This record gives sequence, C-alpha cells and structure tokens, in this order.
Amino acid sequence: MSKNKTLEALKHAIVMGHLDSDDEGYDGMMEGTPGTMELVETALGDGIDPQVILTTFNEAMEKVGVKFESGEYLLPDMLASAECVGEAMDILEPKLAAGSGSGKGKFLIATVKGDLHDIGKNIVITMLKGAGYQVKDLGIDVPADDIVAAIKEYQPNYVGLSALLTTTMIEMEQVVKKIREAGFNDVKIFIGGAPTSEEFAKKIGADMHCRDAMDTIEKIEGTQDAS
Amino acid sequence: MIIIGERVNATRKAIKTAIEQKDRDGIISEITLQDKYGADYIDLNAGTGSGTVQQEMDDLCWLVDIALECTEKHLVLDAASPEILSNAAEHLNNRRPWMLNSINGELSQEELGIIELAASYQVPLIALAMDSDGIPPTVEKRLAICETIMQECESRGLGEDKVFFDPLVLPISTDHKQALVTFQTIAKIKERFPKAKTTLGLSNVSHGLKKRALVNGSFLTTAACFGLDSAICDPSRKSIRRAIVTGDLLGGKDRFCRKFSRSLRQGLFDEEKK
Repeated sequence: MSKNKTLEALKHAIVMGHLDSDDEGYDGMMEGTPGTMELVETALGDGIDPQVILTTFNEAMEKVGVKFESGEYLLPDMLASAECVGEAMDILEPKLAAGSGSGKGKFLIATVKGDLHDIGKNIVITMLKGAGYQVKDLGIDVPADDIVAAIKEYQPNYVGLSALLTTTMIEMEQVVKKIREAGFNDVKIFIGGAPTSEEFAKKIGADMHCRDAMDTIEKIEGTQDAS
Repeated sequence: MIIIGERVNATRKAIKTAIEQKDRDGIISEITLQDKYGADYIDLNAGTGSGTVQQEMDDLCWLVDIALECTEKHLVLDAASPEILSNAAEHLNNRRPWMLNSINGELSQEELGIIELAASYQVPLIALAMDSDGIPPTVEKRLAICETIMQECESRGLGEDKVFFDPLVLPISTDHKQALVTFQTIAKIKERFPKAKTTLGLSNVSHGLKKRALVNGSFLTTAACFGLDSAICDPSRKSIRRAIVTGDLLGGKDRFCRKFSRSLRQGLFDEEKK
C-alpha cells in the first residue's frame, strides 16, 4: 500500500469508528479488515512522519464533526471515532515526543465541588483525546484547592470546569479566583455545563464558554491557531 | 441476541400442509424469509402429529435437504424422539453447524437419549425448565430442574457451554407475576451456570390478552436486559426485530449503539403509514 493509500485508509477507519480488525465499524461490515490501530502501525512502519499521521487524525475528526452537526452521526458514532484516535494516540504519542513539539498540549478537567455530574465531562474528555490533547481527569465533586494543587503538579495549558447545577456554577467563580490568585495567569480556563453561558464565563473571568463537546474542540483549536 | 427462527414448525397448519404435500417452494419461502430478516438458526420441526415415526424421520430429512440448499444459516433439529433426531443428524452429517431442540427435566429414556446424541456430536441442546408436573410457577423450582438437567448432561459428556436453557413463561393473563418469574429465572440461570446460554419462546406470555405483539416485544426486550442470550421467535415480524434491537441496546450488548443506529437508518423504527 502506498503511503497516501495508508493515510486514506486510516482516515476512513477513524471516520467509521473502526478501532481494530475485531471491530464491526459504523456500517457493521468492517470486521476482519485493518482498523485504526493496525493502520497506525502500518503508517509508522512505512516511515510516515508521526506529525503527518496526527494531521490525518485531525482531518478525520473534522469530517466526523461535520457528520455529527448534520445529524448523520449520533453521539455514540462520534465517540467511537474519538475513541479510535484516543487509543491510537497511545501509540503515536511516544513517537511525537521523540521528535519536535508533542501533541497539542495538556488539558486538566474536573466537575467542581458539590456537583456529581460527569457524562458531559466524559464526552469532552473523549473528544479532546480524539483531537490529540493529553487529558488529566480529576473526576467529580473536586474542591477548588485540589484543582489548584493539580495545576501545580501537572502544569496544564488548559483547565476545564464542568457544572450542571445552578447552585454549583457559583463554585466555578471560586475556582477561577483561586487559580488566578495562585499565580496561574497563562492557563486558559474553559467552562461548560447546562446552566453556564458566555456572559457567566466573562463575569467570573473564565477564558472560554463551551456549549458542548464539539464547541469545546472548535474553541480550543481556535486558541491553537492564534498562538 | 441469537435468533432462532421458529416458522418451520409442523404444529403450524401451513407447514403441516406443506410437509404433507411436499410443497418444496412453500418451505423455501418460509426459510428464506427468516434468513432475510436476520435469523441465526433455522428451526426445523416435522412433527405433523399424524404420521408414523418413520414418516417424521423422512420429513425432517426432507426439511434438512431443503434448508441446506436455500440458506447458509445454522440449523436446529427439532423433535421429541432421539431416533428421529439421530437419523436427521446422521443425514445432516455436520454439513452445517447445528443444534438440538429439545429436552425437559422429565428426563425420560427418550430425553437421556437426546442428551447422549448432543454429547456424541458435541452440539448445543435446548433444555426446558419444566418436568412431568408441567411448568413450575416459581423461580426456585425452575432452577432446581435446570440443576438436575445439568447434572445429567455433564455426566454424559455435554458441557455447560453446550446447554441453552429455556426458562419458559406462563401466561400473565392467569398469573400476573409470571413474566417476572421468567426474568428472575434467566438471571438465576446466568448466575448459577455462567457458561450456559438462555433462550426463550415468547408467545405464551400474552396468551388471552390483546395487543400481543406489543406485549411479546416488551417481554423480549426486558428479558434481554436480564441477560437473555437467544430467542425462539419469528424475525420476519417487525415488532420482534424492534424488540431485539432495543433489548440489545438496553441490555448493554450494543457497543456505541451501532445496531440501534443502523436499524434506525434502515427504517426499522419509522412510524407505520396509516
């Protein structure tokens, strides 16, 4: 297989959520054919630049995003594709680190104290991994001090805060305040969750408000382009 | 969900007639219909109840020959007598993966013979959770029957992984808790015999009620959530296919909800045009 064909096949496998040859894929017909994992190995074996493979991941996920936005894909279809990329990143990441700049940055994420919701947060995590970010998940009901301590230890480029309750979105304000007070002024703070809004993000001093997982990806990619 | 297509059964009048008149095309259309709608196994039952043992023997082989020609699906040899089944097994000669239907906890000489037949070919066997007293109304008694059956199977060299237990169901029209008894029996069987499979016929549950397709479908979906592995049913019925897809979906067997979304795209859940 030529290098271009390998990359085309890889892109197709991701779009179809075809993880490996045991997986049936979006159309249910792909079992027994090479999936994302096999094709990434093939691509690396062929000597394709890991950075180029990463670009292929992005192109594939963009295509998936379009299919989701248009209603052709359901949420689990999109998650299947994101999982392909997330798993494949485990193979690709060490190779990227060996070369120049690795991945796109580190993302620390948590549901704030008092709030036990994690479905939305977990979707965002899968999508971020799919887009090539390293994600550290602190879980649910996380006190502000723990988030600040984790920033110290993990040195993320981004922090994501989730809250699903009107009562706990107030907690976000405290978290943002404590992060800035601790001197982390460069870390970009993303907030999300049903009761939150653009205005609220501005009011509490967060950098971005995200409506959903796709919006998170679009906004974070925007910050990448700007830098 | 492993679907065992139930249509080719001589207790149905159309099939009885087709067998008696050797209506090959009639049988072919029954088989290919179930094949088309996703049956994994095609059940073949030639027990017209009117002929001799020799007649049923010949008829079952006749059904096997037709099935081998018109479908690639696996086959279920369905009869009460070990002679008839043994003869059909010999005739089939492993040209297709197959299984046997069925025995119950009565464990007469006939039934022990069927267990031995299953063991000698190492093929799966459907075992009903009932005995000479009929279908017990309690979970405990049905499970006890399964225990007895399993002992007999294992002592004859048929392993747990080769047994499909049918927990059975009594009509809820006469005892409103009976669907629940079936669900709980499925869960208990899965717990006690983790390698065994469970299968289930549906229509008895709604006997004496109306909207039976709805009741049967909901029953199947719920049974899937309790761990049911297989159903003996008619997959050409839309209500059944819907129940299977939603059962796998809610029962945690549909990764990324793919079967559900594919069925959605194929129009399985579209509203019927009035």
